[in-house]
Amino acid sequence: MSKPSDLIQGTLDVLILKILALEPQNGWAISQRLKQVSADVLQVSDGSLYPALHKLEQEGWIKSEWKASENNRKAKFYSLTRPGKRQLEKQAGEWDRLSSAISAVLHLREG
Amino acid sequence: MGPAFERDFRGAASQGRLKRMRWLYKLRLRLRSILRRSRVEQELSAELQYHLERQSEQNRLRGMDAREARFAALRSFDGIEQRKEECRDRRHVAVFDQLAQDLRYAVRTLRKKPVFTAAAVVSLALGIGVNTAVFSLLNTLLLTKLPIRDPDNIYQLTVQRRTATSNAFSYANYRRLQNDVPLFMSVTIWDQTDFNFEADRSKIQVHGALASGNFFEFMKVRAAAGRLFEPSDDSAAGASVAVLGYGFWKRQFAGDPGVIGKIVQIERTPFTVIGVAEDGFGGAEIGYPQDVYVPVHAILRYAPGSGAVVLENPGSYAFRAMVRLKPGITMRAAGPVLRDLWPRLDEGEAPMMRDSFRPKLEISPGAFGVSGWAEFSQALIVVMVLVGLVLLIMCANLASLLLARALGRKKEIAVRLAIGANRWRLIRQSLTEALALALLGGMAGLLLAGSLTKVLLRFLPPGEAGFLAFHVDGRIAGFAAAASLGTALLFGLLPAFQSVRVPLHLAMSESGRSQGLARRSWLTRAVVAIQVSVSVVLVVGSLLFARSLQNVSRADLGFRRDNLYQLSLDPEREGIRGEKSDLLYKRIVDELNGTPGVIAAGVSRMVPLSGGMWWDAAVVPGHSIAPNEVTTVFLNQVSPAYFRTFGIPVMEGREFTGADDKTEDQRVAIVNQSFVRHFFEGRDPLGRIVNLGYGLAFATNPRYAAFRNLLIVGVVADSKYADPRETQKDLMYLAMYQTRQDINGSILVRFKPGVTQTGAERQIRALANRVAAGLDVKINPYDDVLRRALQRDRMVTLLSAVFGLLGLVLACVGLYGVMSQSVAARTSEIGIRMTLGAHAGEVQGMILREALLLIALGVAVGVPLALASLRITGGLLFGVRIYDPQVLVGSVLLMGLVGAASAWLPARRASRIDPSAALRSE
Repeated sequence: MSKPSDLIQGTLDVLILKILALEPQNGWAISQRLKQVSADVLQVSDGSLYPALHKLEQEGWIKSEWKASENNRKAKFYSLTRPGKRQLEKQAGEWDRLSSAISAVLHLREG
Repeated sequence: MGPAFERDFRGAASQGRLKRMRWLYKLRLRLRSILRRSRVEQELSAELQYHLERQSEQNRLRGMDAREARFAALRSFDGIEQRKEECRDRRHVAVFDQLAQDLRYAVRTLRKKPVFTAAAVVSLALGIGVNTAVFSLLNTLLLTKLPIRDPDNIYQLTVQRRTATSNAFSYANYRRLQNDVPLFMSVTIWDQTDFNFEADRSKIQVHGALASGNFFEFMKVRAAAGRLFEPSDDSAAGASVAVLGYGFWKRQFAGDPGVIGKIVQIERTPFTVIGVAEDGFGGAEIGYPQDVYVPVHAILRYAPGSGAVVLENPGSYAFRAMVRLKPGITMRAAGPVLRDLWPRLDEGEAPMMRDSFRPKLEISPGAFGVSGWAEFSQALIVVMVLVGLVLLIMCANLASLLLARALGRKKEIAVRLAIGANRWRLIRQSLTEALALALLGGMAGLLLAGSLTKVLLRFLPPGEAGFLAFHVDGRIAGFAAAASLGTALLFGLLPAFQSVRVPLHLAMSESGRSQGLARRSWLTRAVVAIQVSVSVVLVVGSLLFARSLQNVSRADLGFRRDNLYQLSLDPEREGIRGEKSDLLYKRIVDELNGTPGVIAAGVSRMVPLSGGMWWDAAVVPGHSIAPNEVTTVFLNQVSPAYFRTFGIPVMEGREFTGADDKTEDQRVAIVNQSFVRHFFEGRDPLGRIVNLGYGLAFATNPRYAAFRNLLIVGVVADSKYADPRETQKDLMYLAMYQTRQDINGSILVRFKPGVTQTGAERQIRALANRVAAGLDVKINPYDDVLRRALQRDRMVTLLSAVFGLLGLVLACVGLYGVMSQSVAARTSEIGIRMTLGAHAGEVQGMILREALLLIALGVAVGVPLALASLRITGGLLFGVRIYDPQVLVGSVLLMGLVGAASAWLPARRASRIDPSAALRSE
């Protein structure tokens, strides 16, 4: 089974939160955005998206409601909650720190 | 929460509130997932369905045909059902589902084996029940705080004296503690005493207390009705007032508020009830809930003579004391200051101390109240350990049983594993089974604990232990629950993990009997060895206690106790005081001495071995005191014929006679041989003078004249004073009729051999009626005193014997089980051996050797374990050391014999195996 590793799982959470920070979306739309933004660098299967969504909802970072989608069918829309927003800020900050640390190390090696 | 969170919410309070809100929100979500399952499931399906449809549409737009588009969409999910399960997992719903499933499964399996289930539940109920019962007693005695406000800031005072640590203080001590110690915010004292109580023409005995005027204020207890004492109530000039305990008020007056202002008779003296103390408060004594409180000075009203002594004599240590410390002062800081302060504070004692020992004032937490049950509690702790060990052995037995069952089920397990069952899930399943057993046992145990507590309380004198009666509170229920959970883990964990260690190919093979067996039987053996070692600890313990009790009961007391009776009377209670009371005592004793069938009768202030002590420093002219020498001697006041009554031989000189009865004559004393050895170093003691006590107060105060200038007129043989265990004390006897105005104490009378107890009691009653009709006389065989002194020893000895035996039996059952299993597993091997010519005896020997090896292993671990763990019993043992070789050898032999006996049946079965049948079966 293609269970994402911890690192990818964490990444997936941030990506979902980030996408939802822009506007509320349904699951399928999120999967489309994921494919777009990560430009297929991150291989996120549609299957691992939903468990992640359910976990984030359980944590209280996102909430869901059933609304009409663009073609007038009922779909479950997820949106960011206030704790979710803070979680995103926190995790994004961690990512920034981590990536700048890594790139600093990499520069050190090159130079 | 991270820094971002803190930036948003600076206030700690709002942060806490927010966390709580989020927690509630999550709980709501989770509850929704569990309670509205079908709806949540439906939504999950709909959500995924929507995704599939949109993806198929998109795929079709990219040029796939309908079928292909739908498959591609499904493929991108990697199995839609697994994903749904994952979603449920993330919602933490699965755990509950599975728990319910596991429980159903457990109940089903347990019902299929009713005998096993019943046996397990009954043994667990007994094990957990006994543990809970003992714990409930300890809970009441040691773990329950006084039901007052701010109990953690009250402290108990004790004085570490040469003879013992005591919690008795004089009224003079109270004054000094209150006025001269700047560390205390307040000090209170009280004395527990039984009262004659009379109201509405009903006359009863009640638990009473003389309490200082600030007692209730100190305890921060409110009035349920009326008002409580104020300091002004407690003075020689104050009115005669009384406060009732809440329970007593409800019991005796049905909670009638009209009782306030009522006049009641306490000790035949009128007192006005001014109030009722708060519900739940029964004073600060554990096990002596107070019914009636009067101020300390009230003693002057109902007993003017002895009351004045109690209030004025600095050596009358009658009260318990508690203090509250000033804010900012800790017990730790106060301790060293108080320790050295005492000799300067205690007028009664300080001037006497010419030898090097200095008494110390000690402070300790008082939140748990003052208890006269310290010895009993100590014994209970030992009992708690014993019953804990028994429960441990029980767990081991259950573990072996479950292991054996796991063995029987390994094929089923192998099949389940082979078709993809989750190992962790299987482990959880068998743990759930253990848990179900333990919870059933625990609940039954909790129900049983009440009756078991009653059995334990049988060891205590009736009427004194009512407060220990079993009741379930949060802590007791928690203990039972924790015990159940703990036992479930103890006996369930190993079998649970073992059950899934099955090679998968077993699912296929027809006969895989001996595979994987060696390892598991190694485990069951280890469990049995542990059982043996724990029961060795129990056996060693019970043998030690048995020897100790034997030693104590056989200890030479120095006096005879056959046909000896103790008469307790209290003329002062009946209004007979002073000279009249003295005359009454003398008359009863004289008449008893003239009664046919009586050998002798006398009065004694201290009854030997009753636990009471009276001591003072002896000053013997001509005896020079060495540094660090202890010159304390123990005192008694006795009448003529006392030594004859007790059968204590007079070695030199004479007994007291009726002529030793005038205070103005030369006062006389009798000492024991130990006293002579200490102070006269072999010189003739007769005709020598001895003084009691040092210091100015003693030299000048006429009250102490009775203790100065005492002429030794006799030497008696040594005898025990307060405790059958004590090392011989230096004793000094004063003449009862000469030293004191008031005679008090017990009358002791020895009848001739052949007089029955009923006959003796009849004679005594008839005599008492003749001398003082209506006087309440209690008659007890002297053995009651000894029984009370040995009560704790008997309890521990009997219980340790019962639990030692139980442990032994359980260990043997375990041994029998594992040996039977081993024989069953080796049937074919034994068959082959016998075919090859092994005799029945050899086969038996082989099995027995195996059993003995296990026992030896258990003993090798158990003996050091016993030596290490039985240290806690130190103070309870008399005349026997933990390293007693006889006890150790005896225990090992007993274990070996009983163990071998229990292995004998399986061994015999092994030797009767029919070789041809055994070989065919494999």
